[in-house]
Amino acid sequence: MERIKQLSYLCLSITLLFLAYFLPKITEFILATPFVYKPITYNETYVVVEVFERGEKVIVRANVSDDLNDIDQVRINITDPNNVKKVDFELMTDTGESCGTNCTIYEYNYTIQSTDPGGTWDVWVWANDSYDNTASNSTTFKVCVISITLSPVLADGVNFTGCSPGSTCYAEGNNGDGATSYNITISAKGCNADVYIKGNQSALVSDSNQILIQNMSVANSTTDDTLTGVDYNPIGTSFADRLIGKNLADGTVLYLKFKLEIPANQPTGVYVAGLKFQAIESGEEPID
Amino acid sequence: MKAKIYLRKLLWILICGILIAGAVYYTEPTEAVVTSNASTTTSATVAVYIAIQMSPTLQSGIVFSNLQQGTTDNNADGNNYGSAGTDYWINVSSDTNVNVDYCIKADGDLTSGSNTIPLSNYYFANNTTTDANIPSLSYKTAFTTTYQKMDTNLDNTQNEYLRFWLDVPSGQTPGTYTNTVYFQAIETGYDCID
Repeated sequence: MERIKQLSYLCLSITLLFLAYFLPKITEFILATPFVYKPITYNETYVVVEVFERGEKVIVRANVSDDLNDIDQVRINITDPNNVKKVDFELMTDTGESCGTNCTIYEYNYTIQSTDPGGTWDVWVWANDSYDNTASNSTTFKVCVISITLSPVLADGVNFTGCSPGSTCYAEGNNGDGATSYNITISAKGCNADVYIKGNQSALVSDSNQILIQNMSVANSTTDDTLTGVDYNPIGTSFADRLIGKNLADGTVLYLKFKLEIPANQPTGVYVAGLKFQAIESGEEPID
Repeated sequence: MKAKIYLRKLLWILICGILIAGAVYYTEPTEAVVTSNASTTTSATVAVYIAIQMSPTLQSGIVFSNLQQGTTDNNADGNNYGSAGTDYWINVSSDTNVNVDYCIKADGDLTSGSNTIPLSNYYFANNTTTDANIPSLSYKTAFTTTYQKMDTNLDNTQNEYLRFWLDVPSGQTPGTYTNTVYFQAIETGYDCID
């Protein structure tokens, strides 16, 4: 009985010794696995940015740590919204900048090309160590691409015909109380858009006579193509004077109707001016 | 001790200076803005607008009172011929937006039941000014049933003054004879439209 007891103590001692020897190794093994922190996107001046435009440089930075400071490679994939890999498992540059103990910042620059699509882009950063332990993390950024398409009737021009002096004249394409033929289709990938309108000059002109552009008003809606009960608001010579669509998402159709106040005594003639539209990343000031 | 205080003050001044300079020279990084532009034209065709008006006396009608048979060049009541300017005039409203030519016609002979006074006995004269002698009898023109052009290229501040005369044939049956006189203002350069 005493012998069994002694053998038990011996086994326990051996087990403890075994654990004492190997446990640090196991812990070390686990801690030595690389870790990739969530990558962050910056612009050229190293301001954190999530929405970019074509032509801009995207700087992707990722903090990568390894307890043994044993990172072998850090690589990156950048995939566009059409699932095309624009950057395919390229090596990231070791900036030499520390992000803490055994942590280094890796960087990769990608300039968005003029033909690159708008929308949400995926970034995936991968790292391994010399034991080929691997880790990865990902993030996204957006490329904002906005375009607007005028309906054919709007592109042909906003025409007021048979207007009498001292009266309110409604544009032909309004189609009276029916559905308007004037609309703008918004394409906004990677962002939403605000839409503005302005006259290219202060008046509609016919020889030496003119009708002030402020006499022209626009009604706008994204839901009702008849614009029933929608108020008309005057147009100015600055985009900031008249916002006609706010925070519009991709695919939105903006319906418009126009009217023109003809002053009394207005000489007969054909008065012309240009109208300009601008869609801009939502929340930004329009640019004249 | 004094030197230590001086150095401390100097250190504070330096720190403040660096902070202020930093605030002054720091500019918020600006992001590029995505825009899309489109343009179109707008045109407005302001139509010719003409609104003709008549003097109050003319609105009441061209009246010849106390006519005697066998008399000529009888003045209408509002002619004031030889004494003052005529009470008959037409013009266009102030919101008329073109210059105009004036036209005049009558619908036919003056009639009273089955009796008539020929339209050729009925005359008018016109002028853009008036006084006791203008419009003058010397320039009288007989009415016709189609429009005749009077003065041309008048703007919306000018009046077309008129006088009317009537010849009553001998033996004309007593009665009240009537017809209708029409006036037309038309954009200058165009023919009158019957």
